Amino acid sequence: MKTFEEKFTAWIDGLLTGSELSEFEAELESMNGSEAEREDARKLGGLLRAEYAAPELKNADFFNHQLMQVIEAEALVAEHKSRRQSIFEWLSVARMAWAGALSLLIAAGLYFAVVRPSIEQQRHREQEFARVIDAHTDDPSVTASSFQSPQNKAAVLWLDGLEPLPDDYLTK
Amino acid sequence: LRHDDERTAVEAGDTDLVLRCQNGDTQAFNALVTKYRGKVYALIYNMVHNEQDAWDLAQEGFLKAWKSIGRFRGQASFFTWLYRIVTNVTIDWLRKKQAAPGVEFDERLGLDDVEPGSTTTPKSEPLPSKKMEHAEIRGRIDAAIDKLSPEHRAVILMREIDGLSYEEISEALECSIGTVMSRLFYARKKLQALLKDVYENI
Repeated sequence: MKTFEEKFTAWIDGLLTGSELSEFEAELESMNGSEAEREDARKLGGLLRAEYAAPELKNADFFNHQLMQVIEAEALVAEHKSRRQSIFEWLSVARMAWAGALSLLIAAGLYFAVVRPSIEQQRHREQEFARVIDAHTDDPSVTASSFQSPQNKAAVLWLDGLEPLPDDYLTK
Repeated sequence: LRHDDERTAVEAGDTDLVLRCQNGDTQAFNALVTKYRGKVYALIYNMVHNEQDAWDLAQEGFLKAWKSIGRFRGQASFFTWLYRIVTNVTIDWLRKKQAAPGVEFDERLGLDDVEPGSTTTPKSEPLPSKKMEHAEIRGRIDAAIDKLSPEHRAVILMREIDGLSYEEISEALECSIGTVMSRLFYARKKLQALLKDVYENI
């Protein structure tokens, strides 16, 4: 159902037809000045078309040039952004978790393959050394012990219970 | 019929250019800009009445069209779709300007006063037989258009200057045909009231 304003506009523009036109014109008969109103609308349209042409776009080619420059600059910025975004997308939470787990595995592998055998080897060497010293202390009153002094970079052999050497053993 | 045939041919040419634009071809978009820059600029200029503002808004409108051309599906013609973007940009700009202190559209004038079906009453006595100068007429029309809201400006200019149909205007302004007709009714009434002495004296 069209409102009066809609029908009136269509009537002015000559777009009412058939029964709609005859019914509306019958409705208009009770109103004064509808024809004058239509004439006014036509004159207004004529006035606007004749007198209201906008000025031409000056420097039209520069208009295109300026616009294309902005478009190209924005495309460059968008490309840069998309590159950065793709790096951030690659570094997703899942990928970070996998990378962390992999790093832990490599660290554990290195520990078991390199660090731990080296510690074991060092401990073994110390035990061997102590055993050699023990093997050569036949006197039960003599005890031998050894330790390493890392800051002096030296292995220390400590003997307890030895008798002083007789004077005639002294070298001259 | 001839007008419709011409329009169909124009739309077919536009479709090809639009497809190329959607594949990132800026030269195709440059061709579309060349084709429609005059009409777009004229519509905006008649809404804002300032060359620099019209230039800037036309640039903004075309830039938005380029950015969103991937979403153009061809339900409306490219020209109508472009008009929608450009009109929205201009209406937003006018609304912001309206919000600035000291600038206000006189919505009441001609809307509350105009009874549907009433005859137009001239606001002033017709001028003597002296013909009005073109610049003076232009100034009077500018002042009258300034009294309209952005939406009423767009409707009357699209209809009377660009000759768009109600359907095309409704697509461009994203409103119903009934709204277009209603806005046209009030815009005409208001302009008739403000410009009667002008069109009666030329």
